[in-house]
Amino acid sequence: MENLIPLIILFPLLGVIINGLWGYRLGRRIVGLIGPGVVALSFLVSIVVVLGLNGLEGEHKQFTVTLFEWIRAGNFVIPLQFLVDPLSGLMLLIVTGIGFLIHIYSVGYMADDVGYARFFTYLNLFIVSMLILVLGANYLLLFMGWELVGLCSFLLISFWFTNTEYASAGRKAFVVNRIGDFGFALGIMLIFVTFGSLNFADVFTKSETLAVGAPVVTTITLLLFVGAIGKSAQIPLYVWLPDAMAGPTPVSALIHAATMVTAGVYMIARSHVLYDHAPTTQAIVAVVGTATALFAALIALTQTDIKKVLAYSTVSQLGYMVLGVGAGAYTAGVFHLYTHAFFKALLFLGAGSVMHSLGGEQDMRNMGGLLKYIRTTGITFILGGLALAGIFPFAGFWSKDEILASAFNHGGLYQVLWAIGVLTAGLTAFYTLRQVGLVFFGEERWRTALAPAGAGAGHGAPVTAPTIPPAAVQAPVASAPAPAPAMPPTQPPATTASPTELAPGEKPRRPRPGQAAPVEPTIPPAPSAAAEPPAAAPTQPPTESAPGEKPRRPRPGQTLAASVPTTPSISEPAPTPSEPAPSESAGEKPRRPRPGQANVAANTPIEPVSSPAPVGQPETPVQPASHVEPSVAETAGDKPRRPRPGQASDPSTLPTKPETVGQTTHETHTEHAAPAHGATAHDAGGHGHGGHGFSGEPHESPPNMTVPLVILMLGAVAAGWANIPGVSPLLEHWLEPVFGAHEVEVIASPVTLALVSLAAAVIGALLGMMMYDVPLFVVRLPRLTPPRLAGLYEASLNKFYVDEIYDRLFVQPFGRLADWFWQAVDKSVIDGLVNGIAGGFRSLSGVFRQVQTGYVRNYALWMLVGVVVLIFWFFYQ
Amino acid sequence: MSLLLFGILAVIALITAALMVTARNLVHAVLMMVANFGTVAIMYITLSAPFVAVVQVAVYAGAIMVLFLFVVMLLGEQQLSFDEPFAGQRMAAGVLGLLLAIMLLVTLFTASPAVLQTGLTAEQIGRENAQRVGELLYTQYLLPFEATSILLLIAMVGAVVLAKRRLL
Amino acid sequence: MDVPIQYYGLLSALLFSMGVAGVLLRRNIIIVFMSIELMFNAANLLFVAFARHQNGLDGQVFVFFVMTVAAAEVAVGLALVMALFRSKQTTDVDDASTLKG
Repeated sequence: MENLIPLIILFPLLGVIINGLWGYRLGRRIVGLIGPGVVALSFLVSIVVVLGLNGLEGEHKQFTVTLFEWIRAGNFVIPLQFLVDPLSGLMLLIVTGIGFLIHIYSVGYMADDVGYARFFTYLNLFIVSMLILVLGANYLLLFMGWELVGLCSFLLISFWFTNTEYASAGRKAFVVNRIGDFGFALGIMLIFVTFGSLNFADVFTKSETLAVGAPVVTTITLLLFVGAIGKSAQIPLYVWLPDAMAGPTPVSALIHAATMVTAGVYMIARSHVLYDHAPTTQAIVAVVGTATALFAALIALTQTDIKKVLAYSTVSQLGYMVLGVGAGAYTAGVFHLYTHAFFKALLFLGAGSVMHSLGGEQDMRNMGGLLKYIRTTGITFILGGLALAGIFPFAGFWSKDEILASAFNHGGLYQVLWAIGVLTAGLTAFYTLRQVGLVFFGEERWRTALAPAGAGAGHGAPVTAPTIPPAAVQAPVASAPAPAPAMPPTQPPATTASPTELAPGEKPRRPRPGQAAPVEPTIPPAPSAAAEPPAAAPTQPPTESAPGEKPRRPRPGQTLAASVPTTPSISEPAPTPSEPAPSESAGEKPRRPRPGQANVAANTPIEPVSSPAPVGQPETPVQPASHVEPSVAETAGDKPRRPRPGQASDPSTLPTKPETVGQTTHETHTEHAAPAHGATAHDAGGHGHGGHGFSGEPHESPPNMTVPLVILMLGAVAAGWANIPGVSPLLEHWLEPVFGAHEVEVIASPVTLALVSLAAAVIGALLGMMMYDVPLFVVRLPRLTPPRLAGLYEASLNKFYVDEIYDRLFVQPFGRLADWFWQAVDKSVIDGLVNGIAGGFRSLSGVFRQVQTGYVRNYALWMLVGVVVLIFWFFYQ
Repeated sequence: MSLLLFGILAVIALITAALMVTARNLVHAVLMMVANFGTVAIMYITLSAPFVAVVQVAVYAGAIMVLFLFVVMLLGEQQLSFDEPFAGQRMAAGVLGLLLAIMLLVTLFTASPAVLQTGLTAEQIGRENAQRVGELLYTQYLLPFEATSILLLIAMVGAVVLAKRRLL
Repeated sequence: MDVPIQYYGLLSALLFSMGVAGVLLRRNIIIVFMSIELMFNAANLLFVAFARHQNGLDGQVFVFFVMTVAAAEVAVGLALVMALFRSKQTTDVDDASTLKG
């Protein structure tokens, strides 16, 4: 059985080698077979090993296999040794099992990406790294895996590295993680100094002799926890995780939700003997975990990017796990890790599927009502959401409740943490249901928000553009049905020239689509159409002039062309387009694609004639846009994730101010389009993801994407039943050899505690449902934000300005310090030294070069001098 | 007799050498060099080294002289000047040469070279000379001999490459 | 064995010095070459004289090697002379001074 253990790592390693070296020659089919295949093999072997483990008894429930001695330097001996015990066995199954599903999903999701083979190479490498992390039998191997997963995370976040912003997101993750790893490395060194070994078994045995609360153990555990803070995204180092959403969605699911980020929790659970000896550290761990859970949940409340909500939710749930292990409830922490892996992977993959169906759209304000179009995704997503929300009887309920109960029973400070945890559970339920409501229920905002051609083309962003024939083709194909004569003049090169910009940056400023769509059918058709053309057409000339000047800005003209093909689908109810309403709103906010206008274009084939005429009138509507736009567009392009001071003023120049948003509740219930910020966040992830353009109707993803969803859904529903206290404490029993039987004094009945946290979750969920159009309840609450809370809303939307604070506190000062070193130290001292030496030799050589006459006879003379001196030396010294 | 012979040969050698070094005509210089080498070859015979003497004649008077003449003819007749463009070259050469000569002579006349016991007499060395030298070459000095053959090959290739009109 | 070894030494030293003088003072590259050969020759003479003096053969073997090397050197050297003449139209060593610093 021991002999099988190396195979678990070797299979994915084989995949890395094959896909990495010959991936591009093998072709997509084979790469897509090898990538998931090796993980499947690894999963099967893991099952065999874990089954074998199950056959063993009690304390002996572990396999150890030593391959060879890796390092030997004096008494520093590190064998390459793997350990499978119940804890790492569980992690094995999670990593390979969920990893396998996500691989399968990726086959469909990444199908059109150029970096297909590279993606699977990285993904397999990640599995290898994670397995090393989990299986390592000493801290150094753990650290090696720890760093390797960090590397993979970096590689995959910046997978679309041609996009500067994604690349810098990867770098941010890497740097922030290094801060944590520094502490971790120090901790490991201290362990070696203290115990003379890094082997888990030795360290834990020797640590038993230390007194509880001994300073050295506290120091060690604190340092290790610093590592966990970085890897598991706790306050204050969580900032990298939301940015990590720049990577492809399967990566977000696999690395940044299900496996890697839980490494910190795993490490603490693995080192539980040490933590048990350091109550101070435990308290700190628990407090940090709880604070993270609450803080991230507060941010998640207002995010508008579908992946960002999940990212903050992940941070929050990791906070729960950390609270669990901090409270000494290792089983509970690991239990939550295990259930979370299912439902969060499910939610991320579901989100990916939603984005897939909308051609890469990530802004939830542009979704809505999707349930009936993508039923499988929708149902699985909702069930996953319920699991996350902690609703009985789904997985999240059991594990979260167990953490909270453990915290409560711990007494003292932990009861405060419990209260916060319960509050957070309510928040979690609220934002989860808010997300479900925004995405799957309510109005179909995408109809107007995403003009098909524009979205399709815009989606095929820089990176993926070459790979996506469908998307590229889409624009021309879509425009084909439109009246041919009208097209060229309106839209000369714009459709293809800069389609990228259209989709992402602009959404926020778009007038609420809800207004237009419903109104349309009610308007009487034909006669007005004849009168309309002059009114609508004039908007075009200015837009035509726009493209050249501001490439980043979406040109109304472009949207116009883009919307032409959709017109039929939009105006389905009333075949003849309705002009008045749209054109009015068009006057106010020119950047929205106006269906009506599209029709005008279609109706009036002789575009050039009408366009030059009434220029004066449209001037007004277009003007404000061109004023506001450039700055926003620029920020969007540069640093979307970090609103700069200047940007803060943007909202005020916009037609609608953020404050007014808070106060006035929009009838349409569209989430308010935040300051440029929300938009940019959206921009960040908007394009780039593999695949299809939005073709006017959301479509369900292919089976290799939905099947993993269904399987994960089963997990999300049922995984929690593995550890129902008093009924089926399977997991607790399974992990007992590792953690021992913790007998905690029970203060309150578990049922009471469960009811309290369930009540919080249900209240949160109900509020979310009622405010965000989930049609389960007749009561619909307005999405009212009291004026006094507007500031809080704003703060949450801007992630409490943590990034800005860090920028001020660390990035900028260090930047200035680096500048100082550069200018004062490097340029003057170091360069001076180097250049000085070089200059000295140069002038010296200027003297010596005079010796070189270039005349052979002169050289011969010097030779003779040498001969004479030598003879003299030899014979007459 | 042998001292007299040595004296005559030495004088001839010195004169030819001096004429060679100071020649204004290249062909004359080459001829003087050959004469000098021939004289030295005779001296080798008196030193009971007939093999070396024959090689000297064959290689120097034969091959090398022909080579020199060939080049001289190829480059054409030219009168050589004795201008000295470098200030102090002659002075320095004179002083250094004098120093060298003094030191060599002092060394020569103060040192008393030891006579090794090789078990051979002068006559033995002179008789079957070629055979003995050959034996040494192919036994004790085999490795240098082979190295020399390679050196010659390289020199041959190098000469061909250098003398080609257009370099590779 | 009538001639003292010192005489040979003297002769060899004189020939050698003439060779040195030729290298140092003459500007024609072929003369320079021949002067070098003269120095070889002087050295060879001393080798043979000492071989005789010590009743050995190794000196003669050495001369053999020197001659081989000299032959090789002449072959390459004269090729160089040709190359120099071809590129600079001269046999004056002072005209080839591209090594000047």
